Amino acid sequence: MFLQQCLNGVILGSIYALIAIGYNLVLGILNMLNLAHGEVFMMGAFVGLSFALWKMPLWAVFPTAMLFAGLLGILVERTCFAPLRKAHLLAPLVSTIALGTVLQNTATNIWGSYARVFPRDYLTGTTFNLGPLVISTTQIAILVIALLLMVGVHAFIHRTKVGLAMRAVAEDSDNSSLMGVNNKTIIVWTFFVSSALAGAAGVLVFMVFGQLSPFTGGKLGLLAMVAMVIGGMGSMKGAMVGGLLLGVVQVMNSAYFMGSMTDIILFGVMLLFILLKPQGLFGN
Amino acid sequence: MGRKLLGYYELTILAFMGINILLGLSVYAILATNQLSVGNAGFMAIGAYISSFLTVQLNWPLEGALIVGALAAVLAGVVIGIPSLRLSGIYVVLATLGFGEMIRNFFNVYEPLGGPQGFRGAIGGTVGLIYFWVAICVLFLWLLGRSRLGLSFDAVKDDELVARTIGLPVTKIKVGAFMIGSFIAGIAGGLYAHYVSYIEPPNFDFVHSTIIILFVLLGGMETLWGAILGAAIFTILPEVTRFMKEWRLALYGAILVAIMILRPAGIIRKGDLKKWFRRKETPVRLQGEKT
Amino acid sequence: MSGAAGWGKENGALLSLAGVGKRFGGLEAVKDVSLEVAAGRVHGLIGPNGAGKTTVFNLISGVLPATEGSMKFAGQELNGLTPDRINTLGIARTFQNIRLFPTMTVLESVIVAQNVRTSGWDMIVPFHARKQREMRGKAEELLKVFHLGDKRHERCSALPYADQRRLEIARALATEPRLLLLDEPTAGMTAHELEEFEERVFLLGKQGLTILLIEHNMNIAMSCCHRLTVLNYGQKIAEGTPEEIQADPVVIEAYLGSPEE
Repeated sequence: MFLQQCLNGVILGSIYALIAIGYNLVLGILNMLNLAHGEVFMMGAFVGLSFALWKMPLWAVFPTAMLFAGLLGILVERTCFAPLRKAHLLAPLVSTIALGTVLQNTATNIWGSYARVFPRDYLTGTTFNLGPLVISTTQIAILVIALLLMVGVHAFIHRTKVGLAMRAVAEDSDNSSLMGVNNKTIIVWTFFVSSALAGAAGVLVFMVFGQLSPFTGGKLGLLAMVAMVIGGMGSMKGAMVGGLLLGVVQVMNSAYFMGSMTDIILFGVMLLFILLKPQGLFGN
Repeated sequence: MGRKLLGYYELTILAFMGINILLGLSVYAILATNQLSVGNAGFMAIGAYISSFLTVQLNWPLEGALIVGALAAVLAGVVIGIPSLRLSGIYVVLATLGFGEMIRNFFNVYEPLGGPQGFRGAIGGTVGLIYFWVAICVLFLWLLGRSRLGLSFDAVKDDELVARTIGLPVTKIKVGAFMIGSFIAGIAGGLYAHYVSYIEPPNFDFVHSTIIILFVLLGGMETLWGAILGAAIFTILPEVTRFMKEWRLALYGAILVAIMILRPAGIIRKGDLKKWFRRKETPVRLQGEKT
Repeated sequence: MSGAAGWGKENGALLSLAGVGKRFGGLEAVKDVSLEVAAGRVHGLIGPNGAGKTTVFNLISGVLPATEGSMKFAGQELNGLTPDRINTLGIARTFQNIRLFPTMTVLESVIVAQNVRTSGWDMIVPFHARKQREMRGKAEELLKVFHLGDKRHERCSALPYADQRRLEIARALATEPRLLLLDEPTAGMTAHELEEFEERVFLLGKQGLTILLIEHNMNIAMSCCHRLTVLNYGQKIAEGTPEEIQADPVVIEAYLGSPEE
């Protein structure tokens, strides 16, 4: 039973990790929080859900949701970051809050404010017994996909030209432009990748929970921020570890301790980190 | 007696406008030192619940309960404020965000104060009382803005580092701003609770904190009048745009995104009111000074 | 208040740096710099670009913490103090790339700089109080001295360059310092403005102010300063009177290839 909950925690945690990675990508390159991230994640999830309801197979739903979310991310960059480069430091932050509100309200109008339930028959899964664990194909799929995505992002950042350029800009945007990197393009790419990841995470969410509401984005987005703080702002490794930790802690707490106090404890931990160890576990 | 000038409906709008003005001022006060507090609904919640508890369970007089509730909010503000201030603006956002969520969740599970069922029974709030507090807060912030201390706030907002090099105790000023903002939000919470007589945790969630930010930035983040204008617009507009009730938030959001691009400081900017009313901009007026 | 108030020539150096160093990761921006500034004197800090002069200012004013060495002002250790605390002790500074308060007016900038010397109650008591009038009078006097009187209600950001430079100095002086750190104050000045600057420095010296001056303009450095410390690559390479420095072959070699203004 304990192991079962661990598994659930890891599954949830990998979703948080994906969202947190997205926050960190933007943070690393622009030193700013994209507070519309949660809503982009939510919209990606809903688009994926819609296509799934129209009988699109799962392997196609993912790229579709990711593409849509990625494009939405570019929209965020074009409206909230690019034009505000010279404005007040907090201006993009506020703009993303505003855009997030637009997205959430739009989603509520399109899909209703109540949770949409995922069709039962979409994911036919058999379950396996792995020792004391019971694991379904769905869960395996989620873990595999999440892992692939994380490995993919890591490879993208460390192996491809665009990825290397992203790291260059994140580390030193003055010198990188001198070295011929087009900062603006790289920034757009960063948002695309960050949001595409969020879109994928969105699809994973309705695979895990079986339901989705326009407010899920806000909720999970906030919790992913907790993961980001704990793991360390700007650190990929931190996002993954922080996300996994968060997922496990959340599930364990709900299952064994004071379930209702879970959120309080999680945000309390985040506050403790900010107060005592703001750089998190792996940040600078 | 006399004819009623304002019907029940209008009074309710006025009441909510007053509360929104207070909330806007609470964000403004903190924003005046360049800190974005995304958790003022949390301070509001503390004020609401504590003051309600005092009047309903302990039979306190309303005034006292309001103030104690607000002071409790200040305590929370100081606890959050002090450590976050050493860090950059993003941490203030994260800390206030986390704090707001914590507070909401706390009241959601704390059964003695109703938990998810909410808390009923706080009465006595009137439109008059609300605007009494609005007047006090506006007066206070206005006087502060015109004083030397107000100039210190401006300097901190313009360039924190340089402000330090001319001897301004920046950390104290920023904590002070937090205290003012949390107090006003706490008062707003208490007044709200005693006006609507029923409060529940969803009233104080992140979306509400967000909305306050939206309308303060819309009205103008540089002056207290901007916060008031934003609150007024936000309260009245829904009534005017009844037909698009469902898209109201999207409308605000879209307007704000547009404003951030076109006129980032908001509708009312720092020198605007002086220009419009053609007064000389002086922090301290002297007798006999030639203009 | 400022403990340096009574610090005179008989107490020795007003400001003394001993073995001060600043390391940024692997880079040593400042290494083993020692110097002493006597009260009432003008001390120059010169050296080629990137020699670490502004970093030294940042260390003294508390903007950056020193990684080694000690800095004493009137006997008080400065390392580890916040910039505002250092200003209350009596050190004020200007910035190489002019940092004024963009949304405030000229007069407001100077008035707010007086706040460090204003007691708590005087800050809040509303206008027309005599003390407020007095202080405002002082602020306007200061602006007049710096030829900014008729621009006092303009926004700092709207001022022409030369006025901005003067305002920075006026603002620093409004904090009533004992030691003034000037970072390349004459950059971009015309010949006439340079003359005025020299006079002003002389006058300030007569009023008892101690000045530490970073300068690129050699004429100004030589004519205004009693002593000079020369830095190169973060280390001190020479120190002495203007005559000694001008003749020093080490200094000349350090500047070779970097033409002066």
